Amino acid sequence: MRALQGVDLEVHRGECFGLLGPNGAGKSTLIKILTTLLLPTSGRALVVGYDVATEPFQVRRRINLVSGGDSSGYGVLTVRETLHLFSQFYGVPGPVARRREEELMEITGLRDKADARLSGLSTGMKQKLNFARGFMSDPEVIFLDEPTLGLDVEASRDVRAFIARWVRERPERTVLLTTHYMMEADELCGRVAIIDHGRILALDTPSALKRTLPEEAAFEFQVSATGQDLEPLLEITGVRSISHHAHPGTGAVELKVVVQEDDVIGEVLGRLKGLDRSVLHLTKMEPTLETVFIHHVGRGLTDEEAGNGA
Amino acid sequence: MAPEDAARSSGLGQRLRMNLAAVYARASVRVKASFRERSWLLGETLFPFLAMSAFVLVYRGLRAPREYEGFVVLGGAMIAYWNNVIWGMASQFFWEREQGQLQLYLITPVSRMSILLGMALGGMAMTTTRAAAILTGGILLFHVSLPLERALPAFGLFLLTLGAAYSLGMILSSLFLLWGREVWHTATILQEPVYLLSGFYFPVSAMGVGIAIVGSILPVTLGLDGIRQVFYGPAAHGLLPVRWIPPIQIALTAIFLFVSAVSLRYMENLGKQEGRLTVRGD
Amino acid sequence: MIVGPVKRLAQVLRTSAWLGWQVEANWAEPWIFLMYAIAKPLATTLILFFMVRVVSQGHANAETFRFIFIGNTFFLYVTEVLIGISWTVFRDREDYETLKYIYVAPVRLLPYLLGRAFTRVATATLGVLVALLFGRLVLGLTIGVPGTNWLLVVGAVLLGLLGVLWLGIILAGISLVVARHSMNLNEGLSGLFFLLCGAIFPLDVLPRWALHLSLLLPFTYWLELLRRMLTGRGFAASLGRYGDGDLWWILALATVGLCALALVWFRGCERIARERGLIDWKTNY
Repeated sequence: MRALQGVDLEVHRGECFGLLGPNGAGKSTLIKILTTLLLPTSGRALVVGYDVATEPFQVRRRINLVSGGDSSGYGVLTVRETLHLFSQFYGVPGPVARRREEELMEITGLRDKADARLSGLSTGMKQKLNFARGFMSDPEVIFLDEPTLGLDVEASRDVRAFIARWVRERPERTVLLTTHYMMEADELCGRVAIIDHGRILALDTPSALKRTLPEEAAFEFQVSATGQDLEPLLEITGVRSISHHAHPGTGAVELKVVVQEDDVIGEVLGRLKGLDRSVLHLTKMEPTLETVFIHHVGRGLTDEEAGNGA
Repeated sequence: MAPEDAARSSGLGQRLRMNLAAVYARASVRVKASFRERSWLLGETLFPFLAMSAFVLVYRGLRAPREYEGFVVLGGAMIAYWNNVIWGMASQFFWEREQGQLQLYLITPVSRMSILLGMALGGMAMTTTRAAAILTGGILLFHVSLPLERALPAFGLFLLTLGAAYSLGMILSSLFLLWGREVWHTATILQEPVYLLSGFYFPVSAMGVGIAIVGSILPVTLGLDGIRQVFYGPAAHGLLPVRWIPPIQIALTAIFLFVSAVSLRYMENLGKQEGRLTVRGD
Repeated sequence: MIVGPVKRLAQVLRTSAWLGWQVEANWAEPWIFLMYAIAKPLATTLILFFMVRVVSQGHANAETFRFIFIGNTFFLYVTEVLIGISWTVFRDREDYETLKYIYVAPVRLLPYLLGRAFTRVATATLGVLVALLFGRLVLGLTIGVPGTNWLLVVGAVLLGLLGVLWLGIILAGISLVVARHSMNLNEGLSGLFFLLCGAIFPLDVLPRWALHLSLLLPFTYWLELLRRMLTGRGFAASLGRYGDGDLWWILALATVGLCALALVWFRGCERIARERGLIDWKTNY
């Protein structure tokens, strides 16, 4: 079975690019190819201009990899020693390595554990260390394969904040991120690709992807509880559906109106006035990446299929 | 679970049935796993035979009487069982702990000794294959003579030796249970010294009576000494008269079993108090 | 231009040797590590001592035992280093799960593995030295003859060690593409060499077909050369037609051949591992 077929994508320097796909979609296979762990059977992949198949060493000088959920490492080494060890494999000069060790331990909350052996760390701590290790070489391109997998809410937030800061502070650095968490991709990535069965189904900025959904817009109103019945709203041309219920806290009515185009909402507002309903609050409901994903893949991210093991 | 499950019954018969089922279950898994990979079979038979062959050839190089080659072949077969005692049974609770599975055994209502026995019996299938390969290879390739008419008493002595050796293994497993890593290193370090002290490749009496008696705390030492005497008579340079060996092995079995039952219970409780039974990767 | 890569290579060797030391030696109290290094060679020496002694009716045949002792002692390099290198691949790949991170770093696996082998070489050297001392002081063996050139002995040991390292790299290549349980095969190979090199018996007792195989192994000539240097006589009549100089040449050529083979072989295995995605393989079942 082919894990990837016809994948054609270009990630720009300085970009944080997200790969979204269900299990077995081919995300990890793509990451393995790009990080020189796996040779493509056909096609060509370049990282920072170097061919991963023929110039792996040039690629490796410029990249690093973090696989989420990994609690890898040598149990006898301390946190600091582990970070230093990997910095030496990248030829990072001693003083620079030591400064980065301190910075990364500070950011990942590992400073208190600097001299603790890995064998005594919790799984979460080891994952944080693995994350820090990936940044020790200050790579031109970092591949983050599910970086927050298995981390608790707080640790995931810290990791996301670190990635966002790293991208912000180093505009020349590139991040390629695979994730199960839509919010993570939405928050961090300039562009995302949706991948399934080894094919790229959609590729654009999160907002552009959301716009690719059928041209409907949903608005959420809060209107006063008193007034006439809301059903006449359905008579407006361009209104697809309405739903409403009383808000248990405020007593106001929460009204959701799906319209064919944004312009229709002006007429809806006029009709509400005619129905003696005052509008307390109005929000346009943006489609989420989750909706986009379901639209393209036909199922949610966590719904598994018999995958190809990629 | 059905209410009539043995686990919920306090009847002796029911508990016995449950423990026997546990022995069978643990043993059958290991037997199946052992023979799943063909390459394992090669590793378990050919390689130990090669290692033993080198020692046979030492005697051949020294132009020693042919019985000496028989000593090595019998020793090589016995090493297979001793290694199963240590690495196939005693150390297994340590491995299970490392893989995070020990708690699954500890929360079952069966005796720890039943699980250990299951591991031992399961491992014995591959061990016997290994020992059989060594004996067969020794007989066919090195023309080692093992008189058939003496096979029955030798086999009886062998069974008594196994009983004592595996009982000792149960004591050791309680040590592995709590001090896994340390005991693991100790067992590894002592592997060749045990081969020396037990006289796997030469009659143990060659080291002098004092050292040989110390070595006899390991049941395989006297067992092997006795089996060699059964097959080769005075040429085996026996340490003790062969008729003394069965009662000693029976006594050792009884002592070891008693100590192991106490020790396993004690170590498990100590482990629970210190919360070390579910610690991994220390 | 040249300084950069050499300096970088030295850094990789140093770092991986440091890692090897931490992983292999620095996990325990020094005395436990010491026991690891010396228990096996001493126990095996004593086993062989008693085997010879029991045949000689209580008196060890000193001359024969000297040959057995030297072969067994120096063979320790083969068991320790040969197995150690391939073991590193399995442990890094499956226990520590770090092989993929080392692989994606700008580090070539081959020097990394050679660096990691440093501790094994050190441990084996310690074991060999302790065994030699034990043989001299406790067993009363004469190691060396009046004409022994100790510098040449060290040279011969190093040359043989190089061969062991390259063979270790060949096995490490195999380890990259096979499941962990194949480690048995590597250990078996060490046992096969132990048998075929005549480490503890004269080659002449081997069946003819096995003797032919034995003559293909560089370690056969290595052990014979060391025996001649340290006792003044050869052990195997089958090697009697070779002079000391011949043994040096055979050993040197075999080492160069092994080096070339190891480089090509390892590269091939690495490529297969990359084609099949085996660098981060987990086979511990």
